[in-house]
Order: sequence, then C-alpha cells, then structure tokens
Amino acid sequence: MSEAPQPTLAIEARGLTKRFRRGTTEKLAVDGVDLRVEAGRIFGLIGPNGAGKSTLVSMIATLMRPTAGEAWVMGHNVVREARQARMSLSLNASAGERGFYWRLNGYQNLEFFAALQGLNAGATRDRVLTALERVGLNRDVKLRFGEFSSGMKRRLNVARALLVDRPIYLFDEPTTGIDPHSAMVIRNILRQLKGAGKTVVLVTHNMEEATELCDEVGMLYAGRLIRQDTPEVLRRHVPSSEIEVELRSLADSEVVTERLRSLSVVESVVPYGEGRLRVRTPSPEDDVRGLLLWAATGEQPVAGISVVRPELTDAFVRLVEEATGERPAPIAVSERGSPVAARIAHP
Amino acid sequence: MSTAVSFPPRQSARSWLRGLAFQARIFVKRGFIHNSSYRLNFSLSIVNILIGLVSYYFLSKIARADKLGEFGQNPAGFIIVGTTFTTFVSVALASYAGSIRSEMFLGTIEHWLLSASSLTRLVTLSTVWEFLWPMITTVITFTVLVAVLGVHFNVDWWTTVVFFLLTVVTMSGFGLISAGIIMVSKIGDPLSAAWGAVNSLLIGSLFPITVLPGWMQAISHALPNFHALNGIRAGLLQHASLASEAHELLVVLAFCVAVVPLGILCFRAGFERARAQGTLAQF
Repeated sequence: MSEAPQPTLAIEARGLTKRFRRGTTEKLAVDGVDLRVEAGRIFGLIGPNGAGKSTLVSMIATLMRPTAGEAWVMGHNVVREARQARMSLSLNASAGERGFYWRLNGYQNLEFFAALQGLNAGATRDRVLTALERVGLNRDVKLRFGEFSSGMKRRLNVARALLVDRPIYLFDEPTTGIDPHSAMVIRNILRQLKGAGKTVVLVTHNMEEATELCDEVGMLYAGRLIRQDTPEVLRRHVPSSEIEVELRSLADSEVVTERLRSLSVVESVVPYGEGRLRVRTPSPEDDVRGLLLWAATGEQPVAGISVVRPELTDAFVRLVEEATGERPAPIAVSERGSPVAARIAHP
Repeated sequence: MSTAVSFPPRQSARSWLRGLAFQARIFVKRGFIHNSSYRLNFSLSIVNILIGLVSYYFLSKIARADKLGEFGQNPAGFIIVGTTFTTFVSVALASYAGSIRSEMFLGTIEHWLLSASSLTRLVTLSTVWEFLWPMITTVITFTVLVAVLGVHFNVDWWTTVVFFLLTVVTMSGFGLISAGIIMVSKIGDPLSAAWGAVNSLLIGSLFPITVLPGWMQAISHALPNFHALNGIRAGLLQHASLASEAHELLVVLAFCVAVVPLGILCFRAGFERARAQGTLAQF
C-alpha cells in the first residue's frame, strides 16, 4: 500500500504509467508521471501530439485504468475509489465534431447530459439555461448541433462541463481550431472557474494560452513529465538574447538603427515589424539599462525599450533537449516577445 | 482545502423512482427527436410494420389449421403473436449492444461514464425508446387487426403481461452479455446473430415445433423463448391463467434469475476490460 495522498493537492499522481498493447506491438503512452496540482489554480498540460496528455487526463478522469502507478483526485484513488474521484471532477473532453447528438438542438443536448447527472427537471432547466448563457449560446438554443459552427460546438462542450458543480474541471484542448471570439469566451470561463476557487487542468498546444492563463505548467514529452513549474520560471531556463526598441515614428527607423549600431555593446540591429527594431547584445538583461539611459538622456526618438523574453515554446524545446537529448519541434502557436522593460518617458 | 466531496444524500424510494422516470423521459425524448427527424425513414418504418403484419395475416389464411394444434382455430393470431414476439426479442437482444456501439461512435460514451448514474442504468434506460416504439406500433397493428380484419384474441392480461415482462427482462440479460462483448470487440456480436437464427427456426414463432424433427424439438424445449412464447400465446389467444401456465412460467423465471446477473457481470467485465485497454471511447 502506498503513502496517502497529500491533502493540499487537488490532483496527485505517482509513477503513473499507461502501456498500450496491440498484439506484439507495445506503446508506452505515459511513462511514470509524478504530478502535483495545487487546488484553486489553473494547471496547464503542454506537449506535442502523442505526448500522452489526453491519456494522462483519461486516467485522472477514471476513463482509463493505469498500467502502473497511482493517482488521486481530491484525495480519492482513481482506481479504488473511482466513483468518488469521478464525482469530484467535470471533464471537457477533446470532442471536436463528436460528443453530442447531431439531431438534437443545443438545449436538448445539454438537457440530456444534465439528466444523466441525476438532476431533477427543474434543476436541469436552470443549469442548462445558465450554462448556455455563460458560453453565449442562449440565443442559438434551437439550432441543431449539426448546424453549429466549430466554435459553437466547442462552447457547447464547455457548457456541458459547467452543468455540474465540481471542485476540479479538466479541459482537453478547449480552444483548438476555433475563432478568436469563441476562444476568448472559453478562456474567460476558465478564469471565472479559478476565481470561484475551482481547480482547472488545461490541456493545450497553445503556448500563448498556457502563458496567459496558467499558474503552473507541466511539460509532457514522449509520455514523460519533463518539468512542472510556473510559466515564468520555465521561461527563465532560456536566456534572453535580444532587446526590442519601439520607435516613436516609422520615419525614425533609419536614424535610430544607425545610432544603435554606433554603440559598442550592440552586435546587430534588424527591423522587426512596423516601428520596431530587434537589437542583439552580449547580455540583454544587463545591457537594457544602458540602452534605456542612452534613449532617455540622448533624447532618441524611441517610445520604449524592453528585453525580449523567450517564449514558453523555447523553454519547452530547451528542457526537453536537456532531459532527453532529443530536440523536439517547437509546438504550436507562439506569441511575439513580450516587452518587460520600461517605456521611455519623454518630456 | 477540504478533500471532501459532497455526495447527494441517500434518496428515498419515491425520489429514486422520480429520478428514474425523469431520466427515462429524457431518453425517450432523445429517441423520438432523433428518429422523427429522419422523416422519410420514420414514415416508412410505420408503413413497413403495418404492411408486414397485414401480410402475415393473409399468410395465415393459407396456414393449415390441423398443423397448429390447440391454436388451429386461430392461425392469424398464432402467426401474428409469434412475429410480434420475435420483434420484441430482437429489440431486447440488440438494443443494449446497439446503444453502446452508437454512443462509442458518437463519442458520447465517456460523458455517460462520468455522469452520476451507473452505465448499466443508462444503457438500460437507452433501450426504453427501442421498446416503446414497437410497443406503439404493436398496439396500433393489433387494433387494426381486431377492428378491421376481424382477428380474434381472447386475452388474459395478467398472463400476457407477466410473460411479456419476463421475456423482455430475460432477453435483456442476453442483451447485456452482447453489450459486454461489443464493449471490447466494437463490432461483431455473435450472440445476437445466433439468437436471431434460433428464434426464427426453433421457438415456433411462425410454425409449431411439432413439424420439426425430434432432436430439434428437444433443443426447442431447452430454450427460454419457446416457453415464453407458449405462455404469451396462451395468455393472448386462449385466456389462459398464470396457474395453468405454471410450468412455462417456472422455466422462464429460472432463465431470468440465471441470465440477468450473468448479463450484468459480463457487461461490467467488458467495461473493465475496455477501461484497462484504454479503448472505451474508441470505435
């Protein structure tokens, strides 16, 4: 018998392993994962396709029995106390075009799934209407699921997860391949759930989304949990290599480029989008102060200067390389470097 | 942080029944919306059932009364009861596995599994619509046969209802075994296919088993459906009491007691196997 789970954790896994066997072939989908998800936080699970994210979530959700290891959901063992574990969470499975009844409309679909949760007729109606309103589908309730757009289908999927009040919500790629508005609606719901004290596990390919939403991120690669930490700490594993200079006017590009090139610390200057320059220096974290001083005292036509922070995807590549010796392809969406330094105060 | 999860308090029998009725209503609503949305198919299925049963009526006109034994005076009733019985047996056998297969295909099975209700309960409820629809068509058909075509029934309701329910429950046990197989195999259910063949040949649905060779008759006597059909025929056509059909009743009851728990066990075993293999949501 293993040690009891830690009471402060919403989800805990120790050595969780899933091995699939088909005839003589065998695939290790999840390889001895140790996971700790604090209650009341948004935890991101990132990794490329086939990394084992969905398999890990399925085991946590009791839909799949682990080959080895143990996991607890709100202190309930996912094998020995599967029902209690199951009743502690709500799963927004990666459904895509599946997972609903195509001939039923949005309301009827949710009404059906609410009834499965043992709600009575009155509670079912209230919960369904509230969930539809939260995802912004209350005016489309009479459309059949088959007539929904991809974004609406995803939002309905999220609405289904909201039908029940549980301490943990698992979202498996809820915003993949949908329009920005639907993605924004879903992200806001994740924030609201966190605000209400719920624990959210977000499986995503979207590094920008993970950086923006998650308090902590677990990086999964080839079934192994490579590292688990806050996005900030993970990003610090990759040193900054550039400084971004924001120009006051497009017309200033040439003159500022020339003046920057004249500085001894500057190795190169390249244009980077409209009204921005990327400056490479030996040590951007240290050199940014000198440039700020240069811009402020020399009355340069510059609006802002910042160190370009590496993206989460860079950290992912670096950490996987360190852990496995393999260099993975950078995954999915990345954001432009986020400025972190000051804007230049001009008189 | 509290690790306690609040479970609903233990329900009274009344609220449990109310919850069950609500879920059954929702399943029927889903079945009706789904089926009626395919309007042409829906209309054709009504026409087909009526045409089928009326055809059997005319077929019964050429049936030889001397071969039908105790039902010789009512060949139409004999054949119509037999075919209707076969319909319900087929539904009971196929609807459980069909439901599982359909939910796997649609990708909804994992939401069933994560619900507050047990999978066995939900799969059973999903068959309510499957039974309800043939029940409605049967009532319409029998009404037409009696009122328009003059087919005679001499019904003992108790006997009919008891044998009907026992048959449905017993066959549902076999249906659950099929569903357990489907959970793992995904497609291809040998049990339903075998039962279908046995039903049409050996239980006497279209002809009395006395026309079969002796060894086949022996097999017939070992089948629960043969005894159940005898009981229902006696109840519907001869106003037979339950007491007079006690032998048939005991045989069907014995099968029921043995098969239903076995069905639940097989279904759970199939579920656990698919969960271990990680193929629950696959099709």
